[in-house]
Amino acid sequence: MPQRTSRMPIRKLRSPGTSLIRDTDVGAVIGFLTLVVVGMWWHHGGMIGFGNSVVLRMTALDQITGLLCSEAGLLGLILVTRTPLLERKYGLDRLLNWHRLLGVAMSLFMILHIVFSVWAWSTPSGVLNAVKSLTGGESYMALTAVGTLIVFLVTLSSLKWFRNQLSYEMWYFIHLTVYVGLAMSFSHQIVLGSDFATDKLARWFWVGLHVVIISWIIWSRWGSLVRASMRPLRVASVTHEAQGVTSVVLQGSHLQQHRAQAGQFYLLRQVVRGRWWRANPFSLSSVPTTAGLRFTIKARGEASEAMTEICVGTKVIAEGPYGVCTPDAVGDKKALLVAGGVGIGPIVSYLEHLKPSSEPIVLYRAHSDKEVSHLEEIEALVKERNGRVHTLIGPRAKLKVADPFSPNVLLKLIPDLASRVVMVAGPESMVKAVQRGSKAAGVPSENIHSERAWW
Amino acid sequence: MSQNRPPIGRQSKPTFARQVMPAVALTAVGVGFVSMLDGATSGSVGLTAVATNPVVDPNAPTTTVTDPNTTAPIALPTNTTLAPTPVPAAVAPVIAAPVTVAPANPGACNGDVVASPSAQFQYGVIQLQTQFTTANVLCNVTVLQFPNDRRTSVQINNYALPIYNQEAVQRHSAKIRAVSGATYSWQAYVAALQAVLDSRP
Repeated sequence: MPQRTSRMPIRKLRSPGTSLIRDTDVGAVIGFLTLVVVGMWWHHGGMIGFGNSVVLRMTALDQITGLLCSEAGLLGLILVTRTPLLERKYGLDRLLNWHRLLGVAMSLFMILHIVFSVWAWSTPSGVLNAVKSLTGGESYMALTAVGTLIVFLVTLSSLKWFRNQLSYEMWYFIHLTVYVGLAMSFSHQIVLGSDFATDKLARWFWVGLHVVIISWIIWSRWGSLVRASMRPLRVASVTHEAQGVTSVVLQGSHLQQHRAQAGQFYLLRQVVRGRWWRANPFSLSSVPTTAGLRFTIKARGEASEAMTEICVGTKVIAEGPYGVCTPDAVGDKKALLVAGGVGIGPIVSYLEHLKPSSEPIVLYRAHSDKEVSHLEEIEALVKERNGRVHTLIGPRAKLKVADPFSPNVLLKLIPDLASRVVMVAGPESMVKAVQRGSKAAGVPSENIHSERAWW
Repeated sequence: MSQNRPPIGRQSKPTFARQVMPAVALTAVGVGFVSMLDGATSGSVGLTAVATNPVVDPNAPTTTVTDPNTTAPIALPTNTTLAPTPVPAAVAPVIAAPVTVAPANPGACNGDVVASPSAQFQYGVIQLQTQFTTANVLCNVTVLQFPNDRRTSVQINNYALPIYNQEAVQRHSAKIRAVSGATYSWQAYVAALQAVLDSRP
């Protein structure tokens, strides 16, 4: 537990509070943008002559797919602002996942847009000439072709398979070039896109929308970094917990004004030569207090390994907190907490926050004894709250049952499971197994909470 | 521990108005915005009509050719300049619009015939001849000049210019869509046509 270091009384940090935004607002904004984009195209006569010739049909389709491609791109960019409006409602991990999906949607529309354009262009003069004009013949198309290639490579590099082949640095810098690609492709929309080239109002709306969103990203992301840099934390202690598992406590006088909640995570950036430019996500492993923030970190990759080897006194810039999976979800109900591996970190913080009435049951899954950490702490916390701990330790093959999270096994262990709130943290496969099992055992899905396990 | 805001992820149930109002407001804004844009005025007539009388008919009732010399040179899209060359109506039109508007009342298209200034762009010159109804509505466009020094130019323009003619006549304006592959011609065409329209009362 964090040590008392200042003379100020130690208290829990205040909760960041929830967002004012609702699902319906998000739907309204997406609907608005789609209405404007499709309406603009329709109103400009996008459908005139649709049935009459292949060229007009293909021109209509290349226009609308181009516009939808841009719309998907703009929505994806709104998500990377990480605006608290959305983050406090949906959580950063969900925002980033939607960002990825929108990236894929954008690329699909882009491919369709290219196919339809080449088709339309090739009618008078052949495919080869069409490609020639679309990669240089028409004004700004050379620029656009390069931009398109960049955007396409960025999307490709973010597909799971390619992403896994790349180092983080490589991926990150490839990903940043997307702004260059988007700027290069933007030119042809304004010069050649017949929705914007001839209609001043539409053009200003479109340019304005792009300017606002890009400024928003710069403001929001740089702002968050600048704010965090102005209130840096320092490593107060580093504790070896288990094989490859370390907990790190960060302290700083600024924590008094800080808001955070158990179950959230931060993007931590060591201010050390060669590392300052990259931030990685780590979950809190205790209730955040004015005395410090504790993170439990398992060395799983280059970045987390560097974090476990951090020295006491190192300056750390902590951006955040992020995440919406917090023990408040339990409310007045009873709780079942399931931890897998280093997912025990957030589970400890949940447990610490829970009321005695929650009678928490903790299932702790780990591959070997050596990986088990914080067990004594958990046992003490559980005892105070009339709960109990079950550990499932060993490689999967050595477990007595094939699926320890099947509904039968869960119900036998926890007869009142259906009335409990389930919170899971751990590897994706385990999270899925627990979700499946508890749903089948009768837990309503709004009572099952999980967040991706960070390091 | 005091909390002045509800904790993360716990929102009170929104009222019906709170759920619906943003959507209604944004839809109103969206519809308002779209309706403020320049529209395709002819609605959705489609390019179906293949009219028979494509050209300025030499036997048509007397026409006046307005000299567009009076039109001041205007700012143009990239690489296009307008030369205010008056062209006599006698020049044979090269490409004719196969559409005449309002076939139900064929006598309508008998107003002024106006030659456009020549719009110069990187592949040559486009010049149009336009005709208006007595009510001053654009009702016919023919092309007097277009770049024909290269095979590709001829090919592209033979293909695209009739479509531009059709669209211009259908929309009674220079707000026409570019045909893929003929963007430069489109810019010059729009410039020439707009110059004529601007010179009309």
